[in-house]
Amino acid sequence: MKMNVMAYNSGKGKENGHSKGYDFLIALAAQPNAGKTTLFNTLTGKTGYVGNWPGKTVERMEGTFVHHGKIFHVIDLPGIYSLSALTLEEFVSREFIVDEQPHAVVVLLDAEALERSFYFLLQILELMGKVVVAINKYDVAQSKGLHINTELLENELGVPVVTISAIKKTGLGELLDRIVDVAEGRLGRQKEFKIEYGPLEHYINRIESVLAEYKLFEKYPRRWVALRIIEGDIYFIKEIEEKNREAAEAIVEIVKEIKNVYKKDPVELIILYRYEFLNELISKTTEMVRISEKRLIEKLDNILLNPYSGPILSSLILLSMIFLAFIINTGFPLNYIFISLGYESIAEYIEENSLSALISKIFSVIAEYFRDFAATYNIQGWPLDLVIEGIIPGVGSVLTFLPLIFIVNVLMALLEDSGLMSRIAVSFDRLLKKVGLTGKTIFPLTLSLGCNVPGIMGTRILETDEERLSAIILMPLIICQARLFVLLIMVSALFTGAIIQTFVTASIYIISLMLFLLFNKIVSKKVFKQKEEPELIIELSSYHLPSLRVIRWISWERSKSYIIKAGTLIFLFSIILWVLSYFGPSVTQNVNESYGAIIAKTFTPALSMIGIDDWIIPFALMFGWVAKEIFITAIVVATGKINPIEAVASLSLTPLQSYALLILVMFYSPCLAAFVTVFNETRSFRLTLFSAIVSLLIGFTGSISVYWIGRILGYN
Amino acid sequence: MSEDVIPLSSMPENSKGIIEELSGGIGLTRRLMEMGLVPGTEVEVVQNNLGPIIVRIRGITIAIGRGMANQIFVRKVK
Repeated sequence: MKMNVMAYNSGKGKENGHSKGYDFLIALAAQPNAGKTTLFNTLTGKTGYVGNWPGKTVERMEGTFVHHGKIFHVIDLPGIYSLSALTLEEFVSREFIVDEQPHAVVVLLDAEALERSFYFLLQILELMGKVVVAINKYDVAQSKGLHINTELLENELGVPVVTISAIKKTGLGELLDRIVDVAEGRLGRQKEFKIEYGPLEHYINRIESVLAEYKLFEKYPRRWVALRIIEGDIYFIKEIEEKNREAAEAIVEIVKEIKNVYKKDPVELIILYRYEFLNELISKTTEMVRISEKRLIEKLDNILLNPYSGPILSSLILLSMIFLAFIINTGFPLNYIFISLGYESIAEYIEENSLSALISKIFSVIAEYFRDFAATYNIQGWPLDLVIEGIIPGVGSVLTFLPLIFIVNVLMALLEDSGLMSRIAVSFDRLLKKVGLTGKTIFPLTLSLGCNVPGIMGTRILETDEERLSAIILMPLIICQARLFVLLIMVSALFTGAIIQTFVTASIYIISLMLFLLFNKIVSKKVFKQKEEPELIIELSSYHLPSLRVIRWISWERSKSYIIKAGTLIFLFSIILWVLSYFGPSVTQNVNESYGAIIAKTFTPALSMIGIDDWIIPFALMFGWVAKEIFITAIVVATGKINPIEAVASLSLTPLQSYALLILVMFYSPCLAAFVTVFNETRSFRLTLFSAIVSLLIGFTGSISVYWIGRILGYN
Repeated sequence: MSEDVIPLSSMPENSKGIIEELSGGIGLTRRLMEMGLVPGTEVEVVQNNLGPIIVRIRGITIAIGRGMANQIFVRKVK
């Protein structure tokens, strides 16, 4: 049979790298937890940046480094378990290898989970031979009794193998030398890497002949495509159906035959043969000397994974983390604690020195400076007002949120990198299972308390589509820090007494969580027709001290993508808000008669249901959906008061109206950035709209019910 | 199936077994196999109480939901 080995090893770099500003294109591939981020960061240092895969929402890290005068451009492929196209991450990884044909792929193995890492390596080797194998954490594994004969392994695999420690930066020089060797063609496999699949070989050959006959998928190694098809790869199967009916029928026939003969899903056979191959390989090339020791820190598992103490300890860890972020950002709830203890001056000090207060102070100073400047030179008119009332507060509200998001990201990265997060997921699994989610959801949920945008993106770790879509759609019900900011101002302005204020604030969080859980149960069962409860599968990686470098880097990158995505939107709409509130049909420059107010007034009847017939609140709600904190900005603009608390207080609402309004403001809509993210992640306009409608209905019915139940109970 | 073969979910803590069969849905079975839970592999049950079952396999620790653990059949090692 004629082989298309051409496709197996044409990795010469798609184009001459020089035209793109580098000599070699290198890809970094590994399973999750292998230490890939650390290695990438060590190699590329400060040059690393986050981009997106073309046309995809999966993030892609890129960076550059120089070794022996050659410029290497590194692409960090997402951490994946296999190369099947089950997830978007897996799909973009393999398409990158095939389409961009990097000069070398560095496959990072985890010495502490060697067998599973090997499984991943075998899949890469079946696809391409320009591979350098780097065994990470070898020092740790060695201390536990593992020995690897790397020379023998090199002979067996046909590609260079080096042992490294990405954290301690050992073995990196050799790794770089081997990368150059492979990139320049001195090392690496020339011939296709073949695993014997026993009786399946016959079927593999038959599928290969069909592919050859119809000239399908020429850019991939043919044997590799045949294997993928037997594994049930939806991408290839769909493509064939579209391209060539005849070929599709022939292939379906072959796959059916395997199923009939072996009474099993062929993918299981393939995985079995791969493991058989690697068991033999590992026993040949490694030696494990058992050193039994139960490390002290592993005893933490006894508490964290216990069904009773686990959820308690996990909740404590998450709560203290969230409170720490809140206190740094806004002073809440520490300020309320001091007020209730009678130390008002300390509470005031904490509030004034919270991050959000400091930043808003800076921006009011800048605005003041502009005003003085204008007064001195007698400058007047709308451009000046645009700068002082539109642009400066707009930039301010974007920047106020960056540190908030950053702190949550740092704390989350700490939990992730230390191995704690997976344990927390296990301990929340029993609770979340009851509403059709798995314990893994706790991760996006916690991110959402900082900002819904990373929370919605964080649902990618969830296993099934039903679970994921349901979590995405309802994620906007989780109170983010932008809403915490609105909540705190409204509570301070509309309620009196630290105890009542704390109670109101806490109740909103409890309602938010309850709504999320309740509606998840309904949506997953009724809308997505979830039949079986989703099941948790999660690897509990060993505990380790988080690397500060990695954490700083991850959190900075995540925060930066927030400011670009959300920041531009918030900024843009703060300007539109200013325009709508500044200009009107007449030239009186009275907000009351602006275009914005005119539009808002048509919505006033809707709010009369909770006893509010002011135009200011609908005006603020109209803009609040863009970014929640603009709700407050809009009230400030409309009332003409400078201090936001005074502005909200001047609305003179009764406590009942205030609480009904709070429910409405908190839940009535995802913000624009969250809305866009829901669309990006679901790729469905229908589901995005559904998400917005669910929020709107919950916000309105919740608010109206609270108001009327209160009225019936005799409040007003 | 002989009497020694029981679902992973009924294995006592600290016991060991050899995986015989995975009978769950295709997607999840595949995930488990890719993580190394293939027939013939030794598993050690680290924890088995109310929540997910925690097993050690091929040097890594994995938590598996109970429903899925019901579908993994294991031969007990004495």
